[in-house]
Amino acid sequence: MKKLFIAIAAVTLLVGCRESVVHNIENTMPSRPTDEVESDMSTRFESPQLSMFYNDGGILASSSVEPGKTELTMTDISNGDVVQFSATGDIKSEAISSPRLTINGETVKIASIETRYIKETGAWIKLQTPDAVEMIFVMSD
Amino acid sequence: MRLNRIALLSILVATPYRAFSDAVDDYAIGLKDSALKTMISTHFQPTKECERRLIAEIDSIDRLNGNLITDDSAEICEIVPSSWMMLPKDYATCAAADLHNLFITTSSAAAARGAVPFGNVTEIEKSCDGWKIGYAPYFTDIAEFIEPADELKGDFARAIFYIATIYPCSLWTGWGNVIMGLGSHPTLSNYASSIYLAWHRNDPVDANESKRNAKIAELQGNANPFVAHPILVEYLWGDSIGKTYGKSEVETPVTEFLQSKYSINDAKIRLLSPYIADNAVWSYNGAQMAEQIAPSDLGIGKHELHYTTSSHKGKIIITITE
Repeated sequence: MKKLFIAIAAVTLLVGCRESVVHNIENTMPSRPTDEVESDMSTRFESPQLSMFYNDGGILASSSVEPGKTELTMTDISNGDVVQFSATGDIKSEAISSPRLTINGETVKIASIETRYIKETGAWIKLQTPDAVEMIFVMSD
Repeated sequence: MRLNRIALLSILVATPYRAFSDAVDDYAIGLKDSALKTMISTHFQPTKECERRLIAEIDSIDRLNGNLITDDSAEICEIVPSSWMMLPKDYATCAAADLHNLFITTSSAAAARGAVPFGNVTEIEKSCDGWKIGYAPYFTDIAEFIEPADELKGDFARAIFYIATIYPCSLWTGWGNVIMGLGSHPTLSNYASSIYLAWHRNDPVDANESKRNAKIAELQGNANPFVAHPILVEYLWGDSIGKTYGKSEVETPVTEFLQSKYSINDAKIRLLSPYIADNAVWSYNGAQMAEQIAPSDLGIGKHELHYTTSSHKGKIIITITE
């Protein structure tokens, strides 16, 4: 029995949520100059793991209209891939807390978040995981 | 006591629970594996916050022995214990208060249940109101488990399938990781899914469980899809893993859903998607659209469609070719 509890503790400490950390992928954004990525306000999600570009078509981009809440979602209707950024507070007021990113329902741990070009017509968000994987989430009206 | 039971059952019978079954069909057709799981976690989340005590309105009758539990002996019990849950707090609170995860039982049974995982007990230490508490092999060791009465096993299994699908694996800690959380799909350990799958198959959904599901849906805005459509369990944990849902059960073609590409000669574009609430109002160039239109009404090219619901707004580009 003692061994079992040690095993459970080890699972909790070492494994935690296996899908919450992106493993075995490159730490940088794929093959686009930084300036281009940062000035591009087109609706999209870019990460080494999964990318979606709204302008390609077939990507459902939705956002919550409830006050005091940020929920931005992109869904590829051809295969069900879904990415969601959510937070407490309205991102357009730039006062958000508890940011959360999920890819296909699984939480990605966020180490840092940078928001730019926040205005009525959209939001540009750069996220970084604890192992320095960068992701870009842009939603324009 | 008899009058109370009749009154409760009358309330439950009056609830139109079949609608939730239909909703599963609407959304699940054409999906499999992680896409099917994503659909369920997207569309079957609770939409209303409920107080835990509301479960008493549904389970005031002891489901184990049919007796009415008095206020003195009734206790709210969790199927997946909240002590298995950790940050983020909003999810922990939500999962712990989810009525599908709660039931009312006697205080002595609740004390015996504690936070011990459900399993098939092979070495009974004690019995309490139909529950068996004791030990069972767990890989190379033994561990303490609790085993409900046979007539409750399927109910609890389907509640666990629901919790495992609706809530993210980052929620779990301790036993939660062991039982619920070591994978993105199907988000339940092989050890647990093999036991609960057998419980699910041997104790199928009955009328009372369906009515209970409908009553909870009425209170917190979501049904347990594994009660409304028990066959879904097979697609996530059972014999139909890897198969596309609905081809044999329902004849509605996948092409009925909104697609990203159409030919100008296609008969129609139906503005229905498993990813969008059914009450969405669609518009194109500012004008409201009917539920279905012909591609020729839009013409060849790329077209941006917008929709609004009571809680969301969204948009999508579709392409129409020759």
